[in-house]
Amino acid sequence: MVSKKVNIVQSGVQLMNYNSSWFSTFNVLEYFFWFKSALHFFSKLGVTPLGGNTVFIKKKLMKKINGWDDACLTEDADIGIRLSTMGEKVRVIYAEKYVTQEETPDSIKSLIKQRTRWQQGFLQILKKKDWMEYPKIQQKLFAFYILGYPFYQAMLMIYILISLFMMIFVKLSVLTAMISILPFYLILLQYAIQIFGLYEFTNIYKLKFFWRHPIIMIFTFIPYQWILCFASVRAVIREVKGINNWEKTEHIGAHR
Amino acid sequence: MQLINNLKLIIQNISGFILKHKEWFIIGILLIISGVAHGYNMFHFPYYENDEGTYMSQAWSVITQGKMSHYTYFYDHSPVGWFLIALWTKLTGGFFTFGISVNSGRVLMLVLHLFSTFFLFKIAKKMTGSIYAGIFSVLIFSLSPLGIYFQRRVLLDNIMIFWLLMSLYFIICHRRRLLIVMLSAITFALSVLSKESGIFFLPVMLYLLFIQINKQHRKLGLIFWIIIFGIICSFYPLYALLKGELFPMGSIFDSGGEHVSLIETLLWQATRGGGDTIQYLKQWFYYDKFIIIFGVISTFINLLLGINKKYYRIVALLSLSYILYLIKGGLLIEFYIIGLIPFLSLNIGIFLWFLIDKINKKQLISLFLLVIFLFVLSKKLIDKQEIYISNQVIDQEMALSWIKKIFPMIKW
Repeated sequence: MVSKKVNIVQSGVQLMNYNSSWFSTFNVLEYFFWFKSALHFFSKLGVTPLGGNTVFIKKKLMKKINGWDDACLTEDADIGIRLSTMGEKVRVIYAEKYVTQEETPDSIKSLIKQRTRWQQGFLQILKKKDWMEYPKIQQKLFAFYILGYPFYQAMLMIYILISLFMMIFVKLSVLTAMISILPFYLILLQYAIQIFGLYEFTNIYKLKFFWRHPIIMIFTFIPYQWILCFASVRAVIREVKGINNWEKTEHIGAHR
Repeated sequence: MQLINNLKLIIQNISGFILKHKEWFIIGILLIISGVAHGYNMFHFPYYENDEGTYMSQAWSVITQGKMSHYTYFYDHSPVGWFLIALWTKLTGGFFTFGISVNSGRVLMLVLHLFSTFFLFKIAKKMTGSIYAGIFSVLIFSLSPLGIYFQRRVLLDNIMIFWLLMSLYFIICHRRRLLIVMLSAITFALSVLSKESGIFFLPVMLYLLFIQINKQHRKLGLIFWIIIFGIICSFYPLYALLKGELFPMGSIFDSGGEHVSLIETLLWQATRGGGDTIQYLKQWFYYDKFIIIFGVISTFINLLLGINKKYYRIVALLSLSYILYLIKGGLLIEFYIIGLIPFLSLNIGIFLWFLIDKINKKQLISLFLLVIFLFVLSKKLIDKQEIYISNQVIDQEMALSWIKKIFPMIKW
């Protein structure tokens, strides 16, 4: 904070129990990619939704922006957006030794609750329109993309239904069929990146890389996306209906 | 007096400008030499070969019929090469902009050759840090009568080399960002889809990526490259699969009916024999002994030098990969040598620079060598002056106009 002359520091948060359930692997990887890679890019661009802990903000800044928004479900991301619209730089640090280690939700039910809460929170920030204050057009567009993500993910659910229908009932010309396979290729690429991420994760933390994981992940990659889609759909519905209560996530307590 | 001073100033400015952009001027001059050597008399020599007509008509079929070929397309080659020709004729206003349709393809070959020249210069320069290695390589590449003879023809091999050199240019000459890795993968895939023999460069490409990408990003880079390469290549079998033409008739996955098959053709191509190696070698030697003998020697010396110099290893391996393809047995056609010419040139150019680099007064020696070089190369071209003066297509043109005359009812 002192040497780099920034007022905000976000340090890494990392889920660790990559081997405790089929979905925990993906959940761990999401944190890994988010904190080790994505946040660095966000902070470079100056659009930084902060994480929920291991964040350090100078007191004067907190006073200046009147603290947290207690009506927002993801007040951490909200404060990050509001601070960065003011042009505040965020220093992101991901050092394996010093990350805050956490664990995944203990069941799919609580994962969905947690995700619903986050996604709804992002939609709330999107609605608050603080991000409109960003000076640069690419910052605005990017904030719109990141905050609106739950919505696109919910749309994906509809897409899945359409594509399933088309797979079985629609006959296309060869060229159209070849173009329509592109999303499948992107999924393939995503899958490969996940495997690569898992390998890097286990390597960095000196954990064991199980060769069964990539094989299991072939079958679980898509269902995990469905879970996220489902949570997004819930979030959109709840936001539209105006339901705003806090569904708390339960943890197993492996890293307390 | 005033005028003289002004003139002096102008000359100073110009020479300053030239010195500042020295490399671009050299590239410009090389492109002119290369373009003239390739382009002059290219509509008259060599004679139109039937493959040239095949690819032109397949490009025509793509545009006018929306099909891969005017006959049943039986996967003899993957179609990216004539897609490019089709695109080219679209851009240049049709098939007859330059006379007979094959001429249009030959102009495209000239354009691709200029790009290849540029890539080769950049690659050689990056590998040695010297523009002389680039100049030597490019001069051999562009002034070898053997090269000119085949590079003028509308052949898939020439298109393959264009994409391959572009792919090499990306990974060798640019900072290894993910975008560059992707571009290299895309262009290499296009190279293989232009002519399947490009696949023989795959091991060297992977090895090159391995040593070019720094350790931290190596795995991700390689994964990206392989997947993108695989995705683009997969469109070819995917097309066959969607048309029900992937598997041979009567095999367990066969969808039924009478049809051609990609796998069947591939097996046939792989086991196809033919071609008289000795006869071809004689023909290649007739056009240019120097590039083949000196090129192969340089390749082996570079391989030895490559023990502790990574780029020497790479150029030697590039050349060796293709030599292995040529001598592996199976079908050999005279123009297959096209795939070897740029890499023989590169090996010679880089080896020459290695020799010069050992001596003091590099500039002087290089320039001296350059003069000798140009002398030798022009001597060779004078020996083979038919490249520039003979008209081998006159009979073919006459035959064509005769056909047009006796079939007046067809709209030509």
